[in-house]
Amino acid sequence: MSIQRPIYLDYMASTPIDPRVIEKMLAYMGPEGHFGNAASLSHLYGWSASEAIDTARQQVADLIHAQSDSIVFTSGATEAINLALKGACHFYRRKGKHLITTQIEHSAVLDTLTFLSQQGYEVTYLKPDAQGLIEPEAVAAAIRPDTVLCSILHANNEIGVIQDLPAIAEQTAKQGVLLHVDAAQSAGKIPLDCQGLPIDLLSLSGHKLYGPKGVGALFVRRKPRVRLTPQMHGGGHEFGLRSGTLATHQIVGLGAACALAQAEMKTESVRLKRLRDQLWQALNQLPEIYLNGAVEPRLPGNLNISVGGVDGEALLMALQDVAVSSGAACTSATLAPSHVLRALGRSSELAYSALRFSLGRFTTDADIQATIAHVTTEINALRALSPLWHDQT
Amino acid sequence: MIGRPNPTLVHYFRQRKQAGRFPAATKGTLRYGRAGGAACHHQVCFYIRLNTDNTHIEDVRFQAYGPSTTIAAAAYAAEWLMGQAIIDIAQLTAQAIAEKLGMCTTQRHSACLVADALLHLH
Repeated sequence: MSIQRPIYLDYMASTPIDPRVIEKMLAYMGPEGHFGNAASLSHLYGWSASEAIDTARQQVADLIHAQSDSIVFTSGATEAINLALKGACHFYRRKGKHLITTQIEHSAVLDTLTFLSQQGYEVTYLKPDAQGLIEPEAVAAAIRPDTVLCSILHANNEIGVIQDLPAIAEQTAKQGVLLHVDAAQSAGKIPLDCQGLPIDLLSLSGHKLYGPKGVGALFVRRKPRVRLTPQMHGGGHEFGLRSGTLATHQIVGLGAACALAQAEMKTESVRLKRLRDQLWQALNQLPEIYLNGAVEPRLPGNLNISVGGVDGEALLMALQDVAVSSGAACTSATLAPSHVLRALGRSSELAYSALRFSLGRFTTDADIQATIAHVTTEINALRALSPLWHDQT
Repeated sequence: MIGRPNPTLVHYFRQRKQAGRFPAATKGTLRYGRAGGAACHHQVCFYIRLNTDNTHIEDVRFQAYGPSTTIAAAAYAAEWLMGQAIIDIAQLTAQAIAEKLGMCTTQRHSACLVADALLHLH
């Protein structure tokens, strides 16, 4: 007997590997496949693996409009971010020890910057407005003569709000500060242009765009050249920036996923936006439902709401037929309210009641209709149980 | 919700047969106990109807706001209280609730809240 699985609406946490990607990956794994070490340049097995890596590197570069030799493969976005931030800080340490970021970054950036602050770096955390947007002028105002780097999350992982990258990049480039863009959520969903914009470093992840987990990439600008101190030593792979035998099948998967994302981005974003808007319009019919973050610019598949009179964790427990995530960061058994929502000025009560829906490639119209019905029923049931809601209404 | 929830917690979280309040016209001796509030993101309220001798509990209703553990603890307590002698209510301690529902240390505040509400029945 098969168990009916919940409707998956947590694509910003992770995506399944697209079956077309799996097919490509399989050719680089088994004894009949191209399983060789890409660094073994003396025989066919190595040549095949190396050629596959080159193709994947080009596919990743095409997605973000970059040169292929500016792509460094890593184990994921977290490693790419660590290499970008620690590597740049170490290499440019003589320039200064000041860094700029925002209060609404992913923990991969925040925790790396905490580590760097323990090494003597000073970090300025910019506050977003109530919509989740960072003023480019605030970036400019925070820059000091000793500022080495500014790190910006392109599309927020909780609220999906997209920062004004061209305006921010203009400010950092004007003042000679390196710009690192965390594009883990935006790559493959909205256009990125590393040639057209003065972006110095950009991180992305395979499993957020229907590729495999355990692989990601860092864009490192070639012209003008951005220098990094490697964080992984032993073999000089990846232009000397990231040693370690290349995971050919993972990298092939990332490349294939990037190619598919690029080919389908336009139609897929229209489809997802339509489904997301349907979900929002239906849930917004209920009283005291609050949209977290700006309506636009926002990732097409993201909806983050706070539900008045209901605890977010209880709602998650009630929604066993829909796999969504709380807007809160799960740091312990007691959910801590999301640092992103708190930075937007949400009360702790509304921050505790947040739900993030993230739609993706395999979300159907029927999924959204079933989700609307289920979520509406459970919100009403929990509100009926709540003494606070009873006193209020 | 951290990890796969334990089945006992899920059972009581979903058990709503005693949810709500008594109708305004309910006759008999009623008791009410409350703990928590909006500020701490948890609140539980118990409404208890006693028998004519005021010695035993004849019916119980509850309301709860907060995480699933708080709702489950309140539902369990409401079920346990049915038919109990008033003098035995104190046996339902926070520890007893936490053990019954298999709560981990960080979830036990929900059990404490429910026990606190029962201590304040008036």
